[in-house]
Amino acid sequence: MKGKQGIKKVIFLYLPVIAFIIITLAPFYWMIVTSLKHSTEVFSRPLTYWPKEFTFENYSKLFSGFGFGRYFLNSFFVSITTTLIVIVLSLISGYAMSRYKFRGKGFVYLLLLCTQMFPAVVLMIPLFETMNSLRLINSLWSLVITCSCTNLPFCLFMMMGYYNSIPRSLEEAAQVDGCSLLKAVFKVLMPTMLPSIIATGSYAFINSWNVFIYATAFITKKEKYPIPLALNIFQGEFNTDYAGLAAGCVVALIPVLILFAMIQKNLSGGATSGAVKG
Amino acid sequence: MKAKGRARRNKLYYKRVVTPYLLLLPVLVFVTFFMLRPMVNVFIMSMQNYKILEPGNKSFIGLSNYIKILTQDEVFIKAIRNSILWVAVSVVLQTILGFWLAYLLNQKFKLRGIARALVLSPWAVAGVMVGIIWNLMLGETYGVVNDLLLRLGIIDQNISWFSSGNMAMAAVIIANVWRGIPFFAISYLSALSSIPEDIYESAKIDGANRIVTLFKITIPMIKDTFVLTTLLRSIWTFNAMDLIYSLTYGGPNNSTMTIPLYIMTKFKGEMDYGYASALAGIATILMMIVAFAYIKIGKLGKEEMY
Repeated sequence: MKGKQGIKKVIFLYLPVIAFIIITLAPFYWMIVTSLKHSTEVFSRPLTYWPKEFTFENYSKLFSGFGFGRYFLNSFFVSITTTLIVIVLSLISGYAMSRYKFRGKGFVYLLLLCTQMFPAVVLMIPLFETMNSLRLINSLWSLVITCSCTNLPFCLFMMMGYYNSIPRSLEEAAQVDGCSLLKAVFKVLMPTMLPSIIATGSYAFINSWNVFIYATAFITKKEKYPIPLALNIFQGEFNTDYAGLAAGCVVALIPVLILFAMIQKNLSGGATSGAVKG
Repeated sequence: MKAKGRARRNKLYYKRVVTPYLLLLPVLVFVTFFMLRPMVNVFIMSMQNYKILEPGNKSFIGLSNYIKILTQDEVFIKAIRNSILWVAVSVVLQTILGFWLAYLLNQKFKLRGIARALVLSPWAVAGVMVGIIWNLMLGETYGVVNDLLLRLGIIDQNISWFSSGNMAMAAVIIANVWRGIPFFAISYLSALSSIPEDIYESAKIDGANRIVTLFKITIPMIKDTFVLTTLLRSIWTFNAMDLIYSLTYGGPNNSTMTIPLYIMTKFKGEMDYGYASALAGIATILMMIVAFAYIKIGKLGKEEMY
């Protein structure tokens, strides 16, 4: 009986889980292996599943020849700035949405929900004009502003959910003890909120790191490219240097995968249920 | 004394009323200026003859752009068809696989935390990079997929994924499914974990087996999540174009051209802002119909939202 149960578990649980893991990781594996091959070995027959000779030349070429460091810094600037703006604003407005009853709350909620469905390709056209009149075309600030706007509503919902999960009595008790509301929020709520702030921030960071559609619309100067745009151009320009392309992907993926590992537990928490945008 | 007390109370009351609006002000200003206003502008621009390559020729032309799209534009018809195929196949496959994955991850087993982090990781990968990674996977001579299929004897010559229309569509959908499963799994996971254990316990006592439990308890319990996730992800899949942009750029012969990508090519390639806006207007109207259904159905879970 026990043995039969065990076999069942292997067939219906372990095997499918392993299959999912293999299918998920295979492309990553292939990308890393390709990035460590000489660019001629990529086309060698038969295909090699493990580099005959390890090389880091693709990585060094990436930074010396292709100027990847510049793009990395651009993306970093956009993501960090956006993250800070989004955290501050969603902390403030999430508090209002969670702790106050006010006229028009339902409307605000619905409005913010609707903005989640606005397609980037649609907003891109009029925003190009706006950025043009603000003289922000080819400035990274155009991406900071756009990323902040597109990420704010969802991050606000995330924060609202986190506030909702903290009992109101916490800051009320502090207020009774003579704290002002602001002080109560900062001294009492913030420490408990820290993991949530990190989760929300990482979410905004990953999304802005990956921004592409707006970047193609607003940025045409090479030295201002963020990573996804640079990789896309790279793909077109050096049509056959797949090893270099793979190396670029590896470098670009490192920060987001680290952040993802940190927050993946939060993503399926109650606050964000059903609506993780990508 | 009394009056002072009233004034103080008034002030407190006032503070209480005004505070939430003040707190929300920055977000509302941001959203109004950079999201709502552009949305209105798209419709204004869609009624203009507005081509960057013909400067000084900007004029109001009413619905001409729309009429041209709906009556003369063959690529548009193709793009609509492709978009429907792209959304439908992606979402159906992702729903099934995503639910299966969530169902597996909701059970207790050793190293579950690590397994979870691994299988959900494509979530964080940018669409452009998904395109590049799958280009490496599917490339005709350097791709590992062809090589594996050859070795396993499933095919006897390399498939050229990107030169035939149907195969190119299959390729972008495969890449998109790989990327999208985590989105679904994450939604379903939180729904599944909210089902109380004791329901399963009592079903077990009543002699229900796994399959019966799945269809009679689990799926009905998370029906709302099913509906919402499917609708929301349909909209986002419809909008997503960065993957196709980097994997096939709509080709060959427009066979993977979707509506958002078509907008992009008109905007970026031909710089025909009026026409691109009209396409965007049509896409938005389509979206609004779906979104309306979403909000209507979303009312199901409204109490917990406010």
